[in-house]
Amino acid sequence: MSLLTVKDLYKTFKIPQAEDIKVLQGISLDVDPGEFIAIMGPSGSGKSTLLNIIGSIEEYEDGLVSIDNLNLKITNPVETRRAKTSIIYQDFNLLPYLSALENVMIPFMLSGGNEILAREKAEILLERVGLKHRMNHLPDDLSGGEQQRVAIARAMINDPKILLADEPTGNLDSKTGSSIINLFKEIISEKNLSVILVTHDVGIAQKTDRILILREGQLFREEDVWEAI
Amino acid sequence: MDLTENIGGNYPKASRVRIKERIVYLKAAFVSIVRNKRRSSSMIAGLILGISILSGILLYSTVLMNNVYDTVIEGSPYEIRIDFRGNFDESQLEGFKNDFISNPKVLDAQLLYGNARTIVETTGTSTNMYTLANLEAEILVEYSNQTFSNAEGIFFSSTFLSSPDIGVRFKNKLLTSPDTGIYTNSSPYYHGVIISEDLAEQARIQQGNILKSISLSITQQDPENIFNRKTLSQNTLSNVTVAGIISSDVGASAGIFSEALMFGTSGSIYLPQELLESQNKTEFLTDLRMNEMRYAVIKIDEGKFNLADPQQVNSQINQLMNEIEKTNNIFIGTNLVEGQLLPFQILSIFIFIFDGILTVPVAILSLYLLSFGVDLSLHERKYQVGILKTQGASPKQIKRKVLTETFILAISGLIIGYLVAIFAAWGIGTAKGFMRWDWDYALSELPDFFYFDQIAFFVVGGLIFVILLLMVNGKANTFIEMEIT
Repeated sequence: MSLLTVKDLYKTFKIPQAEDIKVLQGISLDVDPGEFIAIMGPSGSGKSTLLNIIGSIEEYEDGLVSIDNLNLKITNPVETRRAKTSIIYQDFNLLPYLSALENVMIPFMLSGGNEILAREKAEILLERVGLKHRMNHLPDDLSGGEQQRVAIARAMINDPKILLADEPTGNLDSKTGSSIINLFKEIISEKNLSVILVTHDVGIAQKTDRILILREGQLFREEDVWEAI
Repeated sequence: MDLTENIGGNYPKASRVRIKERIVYLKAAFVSIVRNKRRSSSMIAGLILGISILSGILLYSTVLMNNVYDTVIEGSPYEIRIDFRGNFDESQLEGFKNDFISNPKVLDAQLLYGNARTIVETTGTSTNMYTLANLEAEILVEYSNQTFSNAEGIFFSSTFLSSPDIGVRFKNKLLTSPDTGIYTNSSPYYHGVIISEDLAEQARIQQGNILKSISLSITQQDPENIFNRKTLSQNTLSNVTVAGIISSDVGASAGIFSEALMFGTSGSIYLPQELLESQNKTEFLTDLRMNEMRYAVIKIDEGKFNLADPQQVNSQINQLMNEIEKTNNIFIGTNLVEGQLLPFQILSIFIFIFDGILTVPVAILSLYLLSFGVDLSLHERKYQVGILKTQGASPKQIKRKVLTETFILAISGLIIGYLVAIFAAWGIGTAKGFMRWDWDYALSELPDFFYFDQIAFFVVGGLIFVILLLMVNGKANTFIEMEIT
């Protein structure tokens, strides 16, 4: 059974005194555990919106989104964000006044986790992403690639089922970007979690299991798009 | 498929908030405050400013009030005066005195001569001695072949006017006062009288006229029969100049011309010592004694009263006075502190108004600044709040984080602001001029300012604190609703 089920998903942005923007128009998607998917598409096509809906950050009007058999429509979004999904952004979104270690500890502690345990887990994860030696540094003292590794470690601390990555390599050079994708792959094989990656970089996308294209509110398989073209 | 139906599975239950978690919040708040220096310092500066100015005003006023209290109330005699009705021999009076002293709230009691209507004090030098006699005087004026009885007036002699204390004061403050309309040629070498407007009108007397003779008799109300008056002494003065005419209004409260006002009596007049001497002073005083003009002054034990509250002291003294009066129906008490309360109350009202004028605009400005600061603080958190949201923070957790930080800042601002207020009030209160201090004096006064004023701290600080938390709570709710949920 699929880990993530999206069925007939609709999302419209209502803008006062302007025409509504229909971003997602009946999208359906199934993601299995351990699957690595890339979503591509032009700017403004709704890629980030789709990711935010799956991550319980944005609401949707119609359709079904379920993770691990739980219907997001009737589930507390905070609990989903804590236990089921984690999201990584292009600009890392680390709290500037906290050290790398403290940033990684945050999600665990927000979920009611013990501080000592949070510290232990965070250290292990930072070691896993190769940054234990820099764990007491503030984000500003780290390079872009290092900050993104911290963000990945932070995303992993609550053992999510799905990792959502919104252009995680967008601010990184190609070598660092590749290393981040390799890190995703290693984590997938270790934890059997699913990764949904939004990217504009075809090279990066080709390293995933499946590429989907979001255009005009619809989601297409890559091969279908090529066929259409 | 029913979109509102849950398909299955479960989530871990959210942990209950425990003490440990609160400690974590406090730690996190401290970290956030220390590391977000710009935001924290601007917020705490606003708090310190508002609290220090408001507390400073109240502190300064409190010190001012204490000074007024020291001067007006503590300077007044904590005494009860007891007048005796009836005839008593010395042993009886001594007995009464001992009874008064045996009261646990009484420190001491003394028996004195006279009462509110008789001699109160003798003052001046041996050569220029005047007796302040609170006696009613009956004057017979012989002028233009007319005689007026029961005419009241104020007499003085040449020696009286040149007296260094009473006379000069009398002359300067009364005779030349434009308010009273009294005129004198200020020559000290004549006998004069100030007469009432009514008498002047009836007798067609004008200022500067010389009266052929004045017959003065000193009478006293008969203690046995209040409708009778007893004549104590009589005298006639010739060629007395009319030095002034008192308007009816002033004449009606002639008491203002004498010390006796402080004791709540009126119609008092000053009598030249020579007049009394001519009547044989010893005999005169004996007459007073014979007429049972004795009273007792009871000194109360200040330690038994709450001196911090003048109203309460007054009512407590009244209560003690009533207790003493009830022990014997011959006692008539007078609370001597009561007379001091009015000036104290007037000054209190003045200080209260002064506080109000200063406090209201400062309070409004402070609240506006605080509101602005809270808005800025929340706006600056927008980015951080967004991150926390994506990392699984609930609206409640975010609100708690904001409130904890505000709480710590408010407490710090309250304490620092109060300390600043103490030093500011001290600086202003001890300045000898603009930015000029006598440091020995200033430092000796510091402990007086360095005290915990509950009103300044709790009313101002507490109020700002509560308003701030309510404000942050309300604004944070709106902010979180807009940004998170």
